[in-house]
Amino acid sequence: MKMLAGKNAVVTGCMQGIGMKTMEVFAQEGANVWAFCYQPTDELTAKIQSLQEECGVWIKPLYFDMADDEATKAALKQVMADKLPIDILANVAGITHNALFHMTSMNDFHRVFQIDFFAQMLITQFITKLMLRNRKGSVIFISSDAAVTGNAGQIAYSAAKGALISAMRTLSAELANSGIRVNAVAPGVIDTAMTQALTDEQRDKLLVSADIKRLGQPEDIANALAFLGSDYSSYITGQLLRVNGGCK
Amino acid sequence: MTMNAMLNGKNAIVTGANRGIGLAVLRLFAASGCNVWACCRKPSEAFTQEVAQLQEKHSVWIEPVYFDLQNSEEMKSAVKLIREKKEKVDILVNNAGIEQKGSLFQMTSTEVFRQIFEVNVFAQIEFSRYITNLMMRNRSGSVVNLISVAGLDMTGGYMAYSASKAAMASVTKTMAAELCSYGIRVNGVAPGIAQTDMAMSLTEQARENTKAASLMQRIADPEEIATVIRFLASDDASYMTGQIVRADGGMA
Repeated sequence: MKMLAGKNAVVTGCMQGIGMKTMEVFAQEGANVWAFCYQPTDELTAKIQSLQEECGVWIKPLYFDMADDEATKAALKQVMADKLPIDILANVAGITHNALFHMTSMNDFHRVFQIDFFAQMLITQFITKLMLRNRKGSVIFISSDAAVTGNAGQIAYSAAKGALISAMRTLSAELANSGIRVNAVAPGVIDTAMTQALTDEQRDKLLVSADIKRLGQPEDIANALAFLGSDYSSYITGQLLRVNGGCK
Repeated sequence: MTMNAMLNGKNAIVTGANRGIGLAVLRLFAASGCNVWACCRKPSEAFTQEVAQLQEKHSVWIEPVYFDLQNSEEMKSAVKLIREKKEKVDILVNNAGIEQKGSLFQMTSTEVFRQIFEVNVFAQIEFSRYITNLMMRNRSGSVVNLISVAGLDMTGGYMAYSASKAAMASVTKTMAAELCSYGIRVNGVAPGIAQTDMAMSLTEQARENTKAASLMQRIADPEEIATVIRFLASDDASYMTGQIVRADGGMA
């Protein structure tokens, strides 16, 4: 039996990287997906098409910019209008801003926190309200190793990802008696467009402390999200799962 | 919910496979297509029947291996038996352990400390050394150690047990660092309280306290711990090593 058979999931950030891979793994494991994306691409449209045929699930793409709260609310209303139970929310979408503290403007901080924190809170509020009706659900955030250990040159990103860890723990406490589990995954250095923006030197430096001497693949994170989204983790809540090749 | 081919074609060693979490792991692994060397101290009719049923139902082989973790000679013979099967070992679940009768630090004799560490730490290390040596030849493997939230949170009253589990948390991380270059991942699971004989041996008060400390306000079904062990043992966790995953209903 597939891990997520018959479940309905919201996955954000499906346009590329970890989000797209999560949409793929969720579909392969039998879940229907509302795929939140920034904008359509040929690759994405083709992928959605082939996954639907191959896996016998539906995938509904919703295109909007998480910088725009009104657009986000409009997308959430579309999800509500489907009147289906929602089992999983995977908050994957995120942006980074690579700059030293003194080079990071307040505007940069606001921009990063809007996508990496505030928009996620907005989406999670809406979706967990729907989950409350069924008294079950699993919410997952993507934090980062940068939030756990800090990372020179990523002040805004690491701070926002750190805020997500706190929010995750508080939410897990608030929602536990409603049957909703809330966890987070902290990836190490994953091979995506986001880390390709780093210099080779920066990437190598990040990998020095890893035991497994390779970049993580989006699938490594997507598999962890599938596990935390599934009933196989039914006794896990309030946890930060580090998927980082053994970084300290 | 448990049927899933997640471990198809893999071979695993599970210690303490005749009851509690170990038995849940044995059942789940078999249902996931995994062959198992099922280790426990002594044969029993119920266990023999269970093994026969699981083999038939899931078309896997399960080989019972009987030895006492406290007996080095028995352990060596067990390893020999495992080696003689000439099958690769993909997974080791170090589940067997002993509990401690609740007593405060000042009331716990050094004798008790030694006895608990003998089984919960030294025997685990010795057995892991033998088995990871086999894994090294294939340059792949996954080890899952059973820690306990008691080894991470230290709430008092079970010092020898919790200190032994804390030692295993350290062992897990060091083993992960040392064995990684051989393709072997090492992780731990820290359960809260599960519906097992071991948990039932705790005082009613200790059990209630642990339950009350968890967000879910309930005790785990052993299967809920087994599914976490299976995830870490599987290739789905191929980028995870040196981690202790808490399956505790939300305690910290």
